[in-house]
Amino acid sequence: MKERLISLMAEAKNEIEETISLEILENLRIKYLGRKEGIFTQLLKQMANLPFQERPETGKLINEIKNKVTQLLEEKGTTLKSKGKAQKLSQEKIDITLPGILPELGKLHPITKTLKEIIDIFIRLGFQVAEGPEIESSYYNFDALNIPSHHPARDMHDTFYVSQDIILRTHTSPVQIRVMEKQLPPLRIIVPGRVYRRDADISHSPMFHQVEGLFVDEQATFSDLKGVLSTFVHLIFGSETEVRFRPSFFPFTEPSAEVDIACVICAGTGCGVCKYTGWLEILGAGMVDPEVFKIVNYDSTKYTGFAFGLGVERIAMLKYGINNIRLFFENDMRFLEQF
Amino acid sequence: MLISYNWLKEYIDFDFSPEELAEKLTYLGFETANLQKFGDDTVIDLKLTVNRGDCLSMIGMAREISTITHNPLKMPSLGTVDLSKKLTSMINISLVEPKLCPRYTGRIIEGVHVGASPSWLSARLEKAGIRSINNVVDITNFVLMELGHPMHAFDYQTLLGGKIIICRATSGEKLIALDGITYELSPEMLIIADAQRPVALAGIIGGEETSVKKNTTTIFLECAYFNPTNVRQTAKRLGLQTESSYRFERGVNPEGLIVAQNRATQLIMEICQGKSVSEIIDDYPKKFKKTIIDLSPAWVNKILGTDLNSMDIREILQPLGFGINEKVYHLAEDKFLTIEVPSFRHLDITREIDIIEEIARVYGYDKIPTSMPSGSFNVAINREYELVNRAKEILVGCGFYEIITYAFSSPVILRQTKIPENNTVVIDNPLRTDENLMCPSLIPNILKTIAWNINRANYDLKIFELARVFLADGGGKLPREKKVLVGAVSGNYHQPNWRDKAVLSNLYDLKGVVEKLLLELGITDYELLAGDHPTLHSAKQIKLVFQGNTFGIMGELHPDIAEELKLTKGIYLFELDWDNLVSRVNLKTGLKPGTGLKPGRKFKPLPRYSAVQRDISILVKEDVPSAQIAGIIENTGKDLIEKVGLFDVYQGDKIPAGYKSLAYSVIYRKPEATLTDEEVNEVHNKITMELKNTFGAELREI
Repeated sequence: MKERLISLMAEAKNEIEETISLEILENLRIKYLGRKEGIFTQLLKQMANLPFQERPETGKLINEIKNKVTQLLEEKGTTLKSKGKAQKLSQEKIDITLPGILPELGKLHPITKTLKEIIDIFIRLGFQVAEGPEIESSYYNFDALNIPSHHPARDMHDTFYVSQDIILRTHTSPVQIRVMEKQLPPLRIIVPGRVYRRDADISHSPMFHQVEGLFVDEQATFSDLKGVLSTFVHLIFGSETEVRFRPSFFPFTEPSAEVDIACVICAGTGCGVCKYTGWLEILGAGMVDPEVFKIVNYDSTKYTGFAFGLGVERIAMLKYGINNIRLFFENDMRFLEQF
Repeated sequence: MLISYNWLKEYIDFDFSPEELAEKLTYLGFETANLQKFGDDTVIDLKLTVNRGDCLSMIGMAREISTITHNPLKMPSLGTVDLSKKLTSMINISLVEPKLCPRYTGRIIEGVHVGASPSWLSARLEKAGIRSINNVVDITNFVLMELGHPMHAFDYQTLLGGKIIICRATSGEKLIALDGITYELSPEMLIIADAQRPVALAGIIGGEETSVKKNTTTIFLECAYFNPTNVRQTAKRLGLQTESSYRFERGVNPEGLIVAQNRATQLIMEICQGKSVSEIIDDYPKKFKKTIIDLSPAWVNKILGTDLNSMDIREILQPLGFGINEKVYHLAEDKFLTIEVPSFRHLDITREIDIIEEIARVYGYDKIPTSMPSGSFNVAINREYELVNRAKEILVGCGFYEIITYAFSSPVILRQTKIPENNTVVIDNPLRTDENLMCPSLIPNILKTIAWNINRANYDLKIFELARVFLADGGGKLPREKKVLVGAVSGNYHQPNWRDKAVLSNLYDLKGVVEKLLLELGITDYELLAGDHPTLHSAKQIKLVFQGNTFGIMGELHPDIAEELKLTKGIYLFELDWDNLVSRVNLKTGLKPGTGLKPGRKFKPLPRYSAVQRDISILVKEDVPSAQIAGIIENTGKDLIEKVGLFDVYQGDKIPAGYKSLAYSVIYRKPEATLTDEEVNEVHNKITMELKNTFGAELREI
């Protein structure tokens, strides 16, 4: 009996190992472990024929072998199942190189993107967004900004007229006046908006966007102007960008400055974009002229301030390398898709 | 202004190369447009700001350079003008308009030989961009370039009556000028006249008949100070800008006329062999008054953020010709300085701040420290700005591209798109005569954008614009401006790909976008009614109404307009009054920017009891509005209804002609308990009865 059991063990082990499918394995299970006809059931039944004293030992051995076979069957079952699953999954293979189905997302206009970037920087610096009319009185556009009629400074603006004293605003600066008329310092405002000049070529558009900034407080200095605008330039063009301030003239600021950055194309070595100067003009700025404070009844012995203005198209053209301003207003999909 | 590098060196010593000079001038506020080699010379093209009339000359620029080098100016030597020879010619000057001409000087020179200029003279003028005419005229232009004083030489013999009158023109008077053009004059214009007629436009251009010609032997040399505004007005009126008017507009030095007269006389005597010279007749009724300005160094530092003392300031200002009051200066304490402004700066330096600018400019903007401002400020959130961004983000998320169009419009496009013209703002001087209106609607603009794209084979478009429109009915001083949000779709709404077919745009896509946008902005309180906008298809349009007022429209572009504009079929548009929308969102408290939360939108606890779904399919006449059916379901089911969704619309062979089949799924739920079948059956039956009664509808089993 003992010998038979040992050879049975070897036989079962062999059979189970060679099994390649779950069906055959199930047949083996029935063959060995079947409740009625299984070999082990039979063996246990045959126990009755054994002499009494051999029974415990033989019974123990049968159970040991039965357990082993059970374990082998289970292990094989697990192996075959996972193999089967893997095989089944591998049969579900797809072409992973087929293009993805892209969700259809639109885009903001590059001018809006640039504007948002600019405004958000100033919002972080504590500026509030303000707006004003695009069709403006010449009082707000010129006179209140210390640009009297018949002054050559008016030549700096090629103006569209609606009537003698109503015009399309030539800059966002009139909003300075409108805000100061209503609010007292301290003041930090940023004015995005469309402006109009009678001019059209590859770098001039009859309608374009400006951002105007105004800062008024008891302690504002030219140093602060330099600090705020340098910070702005570094945030929008990168912290490595070199900035320079040079004297200029605007009737509503004094001292006035033009702010240049090292050419973003050639990094200052000279190219067609910077006209071989190595510098690009991007901002006009200055300390608010006391004449302007007088017009809005601010005490110019108490308050000082600075103002600045920049052209959004120019910044967008530099940032994206766009060479013709008209592209912004054609709204060709092949253009809009690029930003 | 064109400046010859070599010529400039005659007035000041410096050892910068032309390139170095250009850079140094840039930092002083003189931008250089261009450097051009001229043999061994370089011509620098300077872009001067309008406030610096005093720099429109060699001496003016040399003075600026002296702030860097601290070398003295080398004024031209005048030699001596021999006044001993007896002069037979006489002139009678009558200054009628001293306000428009505060100072007038004149001198007669006899025995002049008019001819070509020596080559050094014409070469210099050429580098300054001035054409050589003859030796006398060239000398006046030379002095203009050297000292900044425009001068004019008349042929004395042609001045009738031996008279010079500085007066206003009379209406209709004419002058044939040196440029060969006949100008018609008006009384606003200041002229130089002889006994009978105008002989020059004061400060702008001389007359042809009295000009210096080959046979001229006696000249009358004019050097004056004309009122800048009047010169500018006249030049603008006549559309005429000359080297002379350019300088007078910006202001010349009223105290420099005699020097200029003597310099020109000296050169005429030398080059044109003049024989005898009169004394200068100087009509100067009201002497120029020097400007004195008190300057506080403390205030200088407060404005600039610098730490300059009186000594620094003195060193900066002296080379520019400012006088600094010694007595005050010697007070060691920095109280204030008394600054005397030189006459050539009388126009641009009138206040303390003007001096501060000079100090900053010469000190160097790069040397002024950089700091960040301190102080308090308003930290309020920019809600309207956030709302605009939010709306744009929603549309971008819906697949729309933002466009920005010119705000101009034309009568033609308005007529074509049936937008009323009577209310438009007209531009007096448009860039293109056919685009002389400010847009009263953005619909023409977006249609033009669609046309532009279709012409370039970009057929599939989902675009929007948020911008202002302009209307002439404001009632106030200024036209009315209103922000409008416009959008359009055309071509495929969904692009085809290897899995899905293309889906053509239709009105429901657009309607869905508008509904979604409004929902996300928290605006749910409006009605959708049949619209009547002339730009849209009469049967395929919807208006959005709030409390009886239409605040938006959407629909299919009218086929006639599509045809007229040569557009494809199936273009759908919406236009919303943005200002109206904004006014309905509580900007102060309601909307949380960036989250799209409805004002007052509150969290509802998640349902604890399960819902029951039942479907209803109904056959009705095709003209029954679906919203009415949904309305009846909701009203009948009341609180038990959580949601009614339309999931199928069918018209075709399987049902009678003139009918449509609609299928709704109705979700029932009770917040406080599980719904029993009996409860659902009861309300569902009630709904089906109601639908039958209302529409005679046939209910179909699903």
